[in-house]
Amino acid sequence: MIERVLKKIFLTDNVFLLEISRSNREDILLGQFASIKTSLKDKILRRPFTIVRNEKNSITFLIKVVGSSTESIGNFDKGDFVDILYPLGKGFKENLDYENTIFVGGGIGIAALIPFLRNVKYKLIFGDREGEYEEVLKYFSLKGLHCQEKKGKFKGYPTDFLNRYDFDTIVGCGPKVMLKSLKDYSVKNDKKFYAVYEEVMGCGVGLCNGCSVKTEDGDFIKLCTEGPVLDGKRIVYD
Amino acid sequence: MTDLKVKIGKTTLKTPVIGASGCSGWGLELSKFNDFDRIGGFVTKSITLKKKIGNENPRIREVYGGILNSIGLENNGVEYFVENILPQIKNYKCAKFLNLAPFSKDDLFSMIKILDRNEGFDGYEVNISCPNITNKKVNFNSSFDDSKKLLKGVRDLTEKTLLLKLSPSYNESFKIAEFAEKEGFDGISFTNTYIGTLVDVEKREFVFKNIQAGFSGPAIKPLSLFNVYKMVKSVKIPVIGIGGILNLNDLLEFLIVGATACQIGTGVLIKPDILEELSRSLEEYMKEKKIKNIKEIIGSIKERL
Repeated sequence: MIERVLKKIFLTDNVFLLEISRSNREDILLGQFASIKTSLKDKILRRPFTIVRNEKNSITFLIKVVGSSTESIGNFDKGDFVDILYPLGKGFKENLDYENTIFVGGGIGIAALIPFLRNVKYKLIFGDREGEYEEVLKYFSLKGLHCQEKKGKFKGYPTDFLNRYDFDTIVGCGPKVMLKSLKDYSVKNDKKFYAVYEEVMGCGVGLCNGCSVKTEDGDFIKLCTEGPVLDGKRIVYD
Repeated sequence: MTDLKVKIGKTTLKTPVIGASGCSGWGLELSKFNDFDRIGGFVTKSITLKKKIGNENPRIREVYGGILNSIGLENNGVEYFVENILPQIKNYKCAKFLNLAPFSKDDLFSMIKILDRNEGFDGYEVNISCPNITNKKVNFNSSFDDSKKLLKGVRDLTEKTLLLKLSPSYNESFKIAEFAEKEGFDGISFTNTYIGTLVDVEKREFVFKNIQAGFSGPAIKPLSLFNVYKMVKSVKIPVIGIGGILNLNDLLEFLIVGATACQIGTGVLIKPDILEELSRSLEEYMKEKKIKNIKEIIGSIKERL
């Protein structure tokens, strides 16, 4: 379907917020995503992004420029047409006990956690390697332990700070290496772990099996239709 | 009345636009995006006799002009298909072809025997051209003799429409197609993806664990168009043209060089509703050009001698 850009703001040098019109009245569930066609002629596949916010007449994305595709989406201006498919993915339907859940985000992985953190009391550890996400946290009024790899009050990786909290469930999104540590921690300490996972996608709608994720039992699950929120302990992170 | 119908074997397609195997899922996913009453049909993902685990990641990478895939025939096997998928797709109003990927003659014959007891689909597309099969023993398309042995007698197993899907990466494909025609196959699906690869310069490694992958998308269109033209010259049975079709003009080119119908693969991944869109735009084009029957387009290329 075709939507229009309502707002675009660069919150940091390379992280921007994109708000577009919403003509699709289907319910949007936690964790669901959209896939956006770039404006580049030489990029034919769409790119998947978590729906960070959904309002009656708009949906919002938080996107980091990491290559030419995201750069081209960052070049969209207010009023531009956007070729987009949404909502995609199974979404997250479990009941979370927020008292006993810790959210762990790494870098732009925070985008996938934002929809979980709206209008609730939550516990959050956010790993920000270079200390570049200050404005993002401010924009979405996110409160939590904000750690950086080599400086600041909380120096280290997000997983270094887990022991400060009481919880039985982890919801994590970020680099694979972080998700892998969260899995190891969850297995060792018998915690539940939901990973909001990322993989290169072909179609995003279940046609191609391009985004299949390897699981501990040697099988694969289709991320686009079974995820993107998966049982993080089942995934093989390699 | 504009007539877009084409016939392949016993199957009449409402339009010459078919979703290609591998990119059409099991039809279930496509049904959300296309009115199946307005398209030709679709070919399922490959079915193998037993459950087949797919390839290790990465499985898909975008490159200039197309995509490389290394999916690896991931599916739950023929019994699972019959029990769980066929009941869901059998009432779809378009043509349904089952893509079969055999690792042996026994595999192929067993699958057809099991499937042929059921109704709810139109025919088979025997796939001997998967780009991600590296085992020489089961890479039938690379050997005329192996293909002959595999395909001999298949016709006796079924009354349904029989298609053969071939690779453009082996010259043998033309001879194999001629043999299939003699054996009673009803059509040739051509071309599958081109075998290609990708290197990670930083790591100095091949990106895909299998080294090779299947290359598809707009970049292959001129190559496939010529291959389809050559195939049309080689066999008298219908050729289903495949290769980088993304729009009406691409589709018309394949039909004009003689493809009876076309399959869309990568185009479906980009635009899941493309089958209905292309069917509609072909009809509009014919009305505008006052073309009453699709047969006036198929094979209408003017060749300079």
